[in-house]
Amino acid sequence: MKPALADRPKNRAGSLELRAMPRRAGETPSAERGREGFWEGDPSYPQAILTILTAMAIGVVFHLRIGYRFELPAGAALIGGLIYALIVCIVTRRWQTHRLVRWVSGVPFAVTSIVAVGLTAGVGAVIPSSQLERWIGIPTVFRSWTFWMLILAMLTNLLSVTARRCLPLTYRNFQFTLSHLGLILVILGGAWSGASLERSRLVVSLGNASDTAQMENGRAVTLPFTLQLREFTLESFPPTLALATLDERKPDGLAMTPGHQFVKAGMRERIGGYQVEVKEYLPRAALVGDRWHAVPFSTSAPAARIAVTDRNGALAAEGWVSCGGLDTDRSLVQLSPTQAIVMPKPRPREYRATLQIAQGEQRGTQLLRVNYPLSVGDYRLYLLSYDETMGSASEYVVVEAVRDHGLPMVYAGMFLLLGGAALMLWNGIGQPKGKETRA
Amino acid sequence: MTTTLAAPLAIAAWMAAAGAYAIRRPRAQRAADLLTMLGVGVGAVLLTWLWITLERPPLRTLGETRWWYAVLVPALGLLIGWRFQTRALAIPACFMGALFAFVNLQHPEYMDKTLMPALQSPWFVPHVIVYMLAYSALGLSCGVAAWALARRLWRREASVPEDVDLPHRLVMVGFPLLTCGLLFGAFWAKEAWGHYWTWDPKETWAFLTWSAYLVYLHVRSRHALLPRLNLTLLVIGFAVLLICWFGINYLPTAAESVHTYTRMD
Repeated sequence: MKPALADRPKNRAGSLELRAMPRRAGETPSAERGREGFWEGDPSYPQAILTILTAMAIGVVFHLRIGYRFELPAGAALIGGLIYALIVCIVTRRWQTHRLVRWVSGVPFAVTSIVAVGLTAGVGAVIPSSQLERWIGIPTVFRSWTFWMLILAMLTNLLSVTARRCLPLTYRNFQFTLSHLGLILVILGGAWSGASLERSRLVVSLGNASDTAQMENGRAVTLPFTLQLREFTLESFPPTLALATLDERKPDGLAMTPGHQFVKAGMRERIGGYQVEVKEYLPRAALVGDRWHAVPFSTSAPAARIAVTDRNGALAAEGWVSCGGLDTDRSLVQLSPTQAIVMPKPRPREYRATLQIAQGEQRGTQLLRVNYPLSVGDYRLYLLSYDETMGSASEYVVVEAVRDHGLPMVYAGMFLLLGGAALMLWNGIGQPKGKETRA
Repeated sequence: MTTTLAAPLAIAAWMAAAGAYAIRRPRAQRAADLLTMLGVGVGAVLLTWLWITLERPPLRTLGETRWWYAVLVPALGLLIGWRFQTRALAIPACFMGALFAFVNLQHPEYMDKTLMPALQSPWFVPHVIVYMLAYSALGLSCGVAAWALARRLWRREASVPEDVDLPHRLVMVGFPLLTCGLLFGAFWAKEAWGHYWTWDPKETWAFLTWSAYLVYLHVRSRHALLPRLNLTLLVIGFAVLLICWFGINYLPTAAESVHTYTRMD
């Protein structure tokens, strides 16, 4: 029986000594530990916590001296990162039995740095950016020096342990190396991405070729190609109905009880205690006088003639309901002074833009859709949005142009991580059958 | 209508199975296996029906993912139980499946056919299903760990390293799947939004969940002889996972996330 946690030996820092594994070669016997200074003997959790706190403090000093809006040149980030990685690897391989090297590459340092990164990320995961900016002057912890100092500490641990364990490359070390090297590449590539990433947005209009985009910080950039919108297509899902009730407690004064069936002739649905039946449905309609008529225009609105009965089966109301469009106002069926059946705007199913792309003498037309970006030179183009007030008659789309030199390194890291995960899963499922464990 | 028929049937099957598993006789155990499979079968039929009638993968709303979880947990409990030659997972798996199915009956979320353009991606189905599998394995791991902790606490005994054996094996299945889900999400985000990682609140919670299990794996590798610490970390890890899955909707950062379509808005 192991001694209870409270009975375990404590080191000079007064913290619980969590090490439960047998002593390894080069480690100081525990009896001698009590007489050592804080950094003598084998460093463990207390030293790791102190180091991490120091890294955070350095981050705070950098923040106060430099601020958080710093821009590191992409080349410097890459070269600096690689040189740092090389130094850590060489030092680890050269002095791999040294107690400090073993500590930097050890579990206590790893656990402490992961927990510190997690806690810092947790701040960003819980506190909204506006609140954070009011409190500490930065909208996100993920761009703070403190966060990056912690990432550096974690990276140092990863580099050191990988350099230690990658050779000899046995099967067990192979899985370990895949996962850890993958994470190293993701962090280094991510840092390179952060320094080199160019994300800019441009409004691409019908009839106007444009090559000027705007970065996130408001800076205008000229792209090496021009874009022009040739055609925009929007497909929407059929509309649904909803019961709107006046409610002062809601921000917009309305409580909505949504129906979930698509509107079509003959559709019946119970919404908020009312039975709604669609008598007639016009996917494209316009209001002429007091009646809706089918029209062929894409700017028209869907409309439905409905009959609404209450819980007792008595007819509560009958009339036309429509979400309205560019050419016509919305229409609702009033049930009482505080309730009405309405038709929310149909949700978009898909939108796509046909773009004319000109680069030098080359000119071509390509289709851009959400989830299917286009590659033009170093850039990838993404369809972000359109003029929602105009709907399918939108005369422009918003395109994002992204150039990210760090992406191949990040993807390489991700694939290594996937490989490591696959091997871990294989080992996890393929473990020899164990003893019966009682529930 | 199908939901209100299928859910009580699945719940009844899993509860009956849990009762039969408690009778430690071979015939009762075999009957319990069959009842568990019946519940899983009914749940699978329900998901197939939803997929067909909604004309999209039923993986969009919180309610839909809860159904997947309710079906996958007992299924995984059976499969992993067979693989590891243990029935220790059977009762918690049946209870978890029944609990999540019951929650869905109490909160039948409205499921419509709409699917926003960003979700119409080849990554949608693998990303969510791999995550659901990971959640199932890690949920079972937490259940077994919590049970071991509670049992030891009740009997006033110190936890022993064997207590962590089964939950650890489940983490060895769940964590790689969690990693795959995270990476599939990153690949998808790159295709849909132009960048693989933006520290969106949902992404951050996914990272925190992954980190929590990473901490567990490191602690376990070094301190295997501290079972109570290991078991506690597994319970904490699953608590973080639950925040990532649906607790985030109640946090002040929820409004900043683009991944809010798991809510029934």
